[in-house]
Amino acid sequence: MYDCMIVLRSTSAAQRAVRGLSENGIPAIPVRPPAALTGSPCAHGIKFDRRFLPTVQSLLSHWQLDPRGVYDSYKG
Amino acid sequence: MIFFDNAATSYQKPPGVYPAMREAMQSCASVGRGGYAAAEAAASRVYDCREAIAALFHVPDPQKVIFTYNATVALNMAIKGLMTDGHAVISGYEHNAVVRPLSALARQGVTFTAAASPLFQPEELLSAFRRAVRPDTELLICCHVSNVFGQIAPVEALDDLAWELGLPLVIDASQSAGMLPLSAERLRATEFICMPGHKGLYGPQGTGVMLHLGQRPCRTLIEGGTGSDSASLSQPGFDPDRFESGTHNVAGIAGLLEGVRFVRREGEAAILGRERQLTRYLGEELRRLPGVQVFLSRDPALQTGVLSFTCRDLPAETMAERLSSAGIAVRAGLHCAPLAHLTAGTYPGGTVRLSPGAFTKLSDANRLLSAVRAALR
Repeated sequence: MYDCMIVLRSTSAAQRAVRGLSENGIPAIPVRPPAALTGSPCAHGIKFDRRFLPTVQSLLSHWQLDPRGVYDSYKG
Repeated sequence: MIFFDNAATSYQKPPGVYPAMREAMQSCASVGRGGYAAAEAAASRVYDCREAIAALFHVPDPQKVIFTYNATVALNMAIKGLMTDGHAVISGYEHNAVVRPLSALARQGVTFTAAASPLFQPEELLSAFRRAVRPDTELLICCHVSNVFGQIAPVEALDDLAWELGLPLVIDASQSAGMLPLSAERLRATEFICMPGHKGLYGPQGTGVMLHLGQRPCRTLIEGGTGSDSASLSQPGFDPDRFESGTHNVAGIAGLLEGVRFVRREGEAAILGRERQLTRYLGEELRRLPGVQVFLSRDPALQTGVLSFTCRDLPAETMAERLSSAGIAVRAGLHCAPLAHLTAGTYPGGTVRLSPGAFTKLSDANRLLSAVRAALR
């Protein structure tokens, strides 16, 4: 269930994150979150199961992909 | 046509390149613009290519693989991004894609020195670079392989020298990518490695790659839409977006992906080995012909599959024209590298250049030799 969303800086960062998470057994997909939610037009992010949030955050930090926003009840 | 001009472009591509480009044109939209399936397909395909190239050059982060339209654009970005108003040192064999940007920068006070050295003497090349460095030197630039003579420059040792001197290095890998391994893990001073997608990487024209390995401040040459940070009126400061404004050549990059996959399957060493074998054979045979001077290294390890020769009694362009009439494609003249000819002593007449590729056969080489003999009669 993709109920958690993290905003990243670019589509390339989102691709990097999705592939890296997949290699670590965490399914994720790229997403274009709405500006009304993020306050930032043309944002890029990833969706994944909320259960993996701590691991995802740790991995993103390791890959130097700093989140620009974390939405742990995402319904998009 | 028998094609011996792979140093200009690899005319024959691996079979997978063509359908990959067609498929991309039929299924991929633009990267990072929309949120629909075709936009995601484009983003995914382009990132696949970043990953493949990153693996080939041992670049840890695929986001450091920057796509350009050719090596010339990449070199312009690197050189004009790093230079301020100081001095650059280049080898005596640089292509105009290095020399002309530096010449254009003279308007902001930039000067440069061509560290000339004899052909096929890597230690002399290193010494020449060291001697040419001045207190105001900002940048070292070197082609990994000469597009005229196939001379291999000791870029790893040059990277060591640059590191010792506290200077950045830009490597022009136009004639080495896909043949001579270069590992980002081995390089410390190198800021950028620039290369075309359409030569040794067997992708289509309209593709180029710039590997951003360093951390030094670098101005951008082109600013525009990146599909990221759109609310900002300033160019993003992160890779690859910083250097990739405007629409990507998605179909070209899809083709380049297949080319890179081909190189990784075949192996750089195998491709170089075959080309080198053909070049050595051609060089030895051409040497037997009266009045023909061949620029063949005594040590095969110092030269790739690029070979130049001159004919005492026939201008280079005339030889090329006669070979073309026989269905054989070569290049003649200065090869956009007048500096190389000035250094090697073949200016202004230039040379005839032969450059086999991964698909060139021994029978092609024999037909070329027959045609050269006929042209000289």
